[in-house]
Amino acid sequence: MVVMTDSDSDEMEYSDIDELAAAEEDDSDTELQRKFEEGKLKPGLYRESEKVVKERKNNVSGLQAKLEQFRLKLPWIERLDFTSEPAPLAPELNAEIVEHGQTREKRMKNQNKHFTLDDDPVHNDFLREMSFYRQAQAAVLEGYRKLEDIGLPTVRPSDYFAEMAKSDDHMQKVRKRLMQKQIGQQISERVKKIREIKKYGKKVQIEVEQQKHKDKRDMLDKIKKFRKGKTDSIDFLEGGRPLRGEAGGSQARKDIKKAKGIRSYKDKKYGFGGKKKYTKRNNEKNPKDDSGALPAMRKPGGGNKKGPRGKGKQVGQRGNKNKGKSRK
Amino acid sequence: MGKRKRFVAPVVEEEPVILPSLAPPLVRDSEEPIKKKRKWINKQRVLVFASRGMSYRNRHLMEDLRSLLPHSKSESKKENKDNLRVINEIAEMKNCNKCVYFESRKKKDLYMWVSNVPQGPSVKFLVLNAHTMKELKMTGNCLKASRPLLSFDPGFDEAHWAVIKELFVQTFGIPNQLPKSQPFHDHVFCFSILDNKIWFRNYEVLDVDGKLSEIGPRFVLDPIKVFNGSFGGETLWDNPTFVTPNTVRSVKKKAESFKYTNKILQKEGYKKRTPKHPFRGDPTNEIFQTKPPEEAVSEEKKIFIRKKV
Repeated sequence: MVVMTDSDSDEMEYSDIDELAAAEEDDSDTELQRKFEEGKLKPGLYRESEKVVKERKNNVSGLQAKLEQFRLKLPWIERLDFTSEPAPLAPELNAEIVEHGQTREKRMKNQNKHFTLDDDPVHNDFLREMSFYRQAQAAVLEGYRKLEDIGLPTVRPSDYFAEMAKSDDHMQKVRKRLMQKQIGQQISERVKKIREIKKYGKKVQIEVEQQKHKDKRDMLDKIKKFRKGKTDSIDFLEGGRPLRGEAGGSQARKDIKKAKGIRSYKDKKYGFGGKKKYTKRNNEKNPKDDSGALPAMRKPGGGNKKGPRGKGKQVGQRGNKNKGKSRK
Repeated sequence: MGKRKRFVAPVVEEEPVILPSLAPPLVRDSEEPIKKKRKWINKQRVLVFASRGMSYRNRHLMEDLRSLLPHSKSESKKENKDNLRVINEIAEMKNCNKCVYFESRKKKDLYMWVSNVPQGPSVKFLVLNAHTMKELKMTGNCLKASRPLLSFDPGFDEAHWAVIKELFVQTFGIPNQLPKSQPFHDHVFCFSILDNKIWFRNYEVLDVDGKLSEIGPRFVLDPIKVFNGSFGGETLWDNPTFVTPNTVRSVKKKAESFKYTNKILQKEGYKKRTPKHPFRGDPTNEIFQTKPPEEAVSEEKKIFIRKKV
């Protein structure tokens, strides 16, 4: 910072500065003014003194002495400590990293055009965790070798039961979550597949439709040409794709024939065309005996022997009854 | 009876082949010294406790540490945050020679003290990114009292890091032959240095060939100071890169406040700059803005139509 000391402007600008507040600061303007009056400052440019950086302590000898003082002087087995570089990258881990990077890139490219994998915090987090994992792995590989040399047990056998750091309930929850995650993944994969199949199916459908239209157009063109006399042959009608399937043609014809036969037989049996009304009525030429037709409607003991007359009487009676009702 | 004797005979023949290595001899000489069990030499006891005003997540973290360290002892929460020297006495009363003390400030910042109680040193850390063992994404599990392997980053060679490492070995390492401990070695504590901070991870060993799965907890320790004494004394090392969480918050707040004031200033400036009335010239000038009749469209054509008189 650069401070311009100018006696005139100083007095005008800072006349109302609070004395108390000014007294607290080291480099306050009133102090500058006072110094200027005393003649310690001269007009011109003044630079603010550099800030004193607080020196950070790093007492290496003290640290070393302290370390020597409280260090455990015991064999390794009492300490179980390792200083280990990360273990060499196993191929399956490498594959995992690559896969994570690819999926991450694929997903993020859709959202952000300027996405780069190096700046991605999620992928970097994954890589960091991997480095910790590898460091621990190196310690385990070395440590297990040492423990086996001494003859101490290493991995916990699956049939060794003792109190665990996490309860069984908690582990159940963990397992459930894993299962759910897996199921979710499977479902999403299946949905993806179905979507793809649908997309492909639609494509095929469109193609087929277009082909059909094209065939039709060609056929019509040829027919037009034939009509105008440009071509003499009508081979195109036989060749190419038959409109009604060739293989099923004879069969269809047979079916039609059969159906026709049935129809004619039925017509013959039940009659076809002509007036159907009054066909069952009596007439002079063909008096009909309806004894078999309506047996239930007959009164017991009546009817059959009386013949047509009896029936006529009955009809008349019924008619009289109706007349009576309507009058009332 | 006679039959049984016949059956016993072959079994007796086989026994001496298997037994001697497993079972102790039935008869022992009185002169012969008793073969002692391996001794529990490294007697470390760690006091793990906290100050009042801790968030639930941090409390869980502390409880996780307690459950993972069978040589730990607990103590009720400390009321007064000022006098840390008292902790030395508390630890002595509890017969502990190591202490992990969690100090929470403002209900959000967690500091961790790790100390070698009677004569020091002690280290103060800021705890960041704490995740507890209860989280479901950590799928591993281990015996409650098995001894962990301690894996350290090669970066722990430097003077102050070496002191921290030694302190960690003594506090987080479970002593050999501790009566509570279990015989297997099924998990690893991993301390790595990244970005001048210590990253702690706890993995279960699934297989002898080094397949791991995380158990938790996980946290990051940002070292602040290394003291000569226990909970005080001369400062041996001071982290030059350490920024207090308060400054981090205030800087963030300031940046946000500038964003607001900037926006307001910009709005004001825009208001001043934009003219209140759009530019308007001499209205008579409009007379000269004409179109030739051949370019006229629809309505404009009417101007050019002459009425027949």
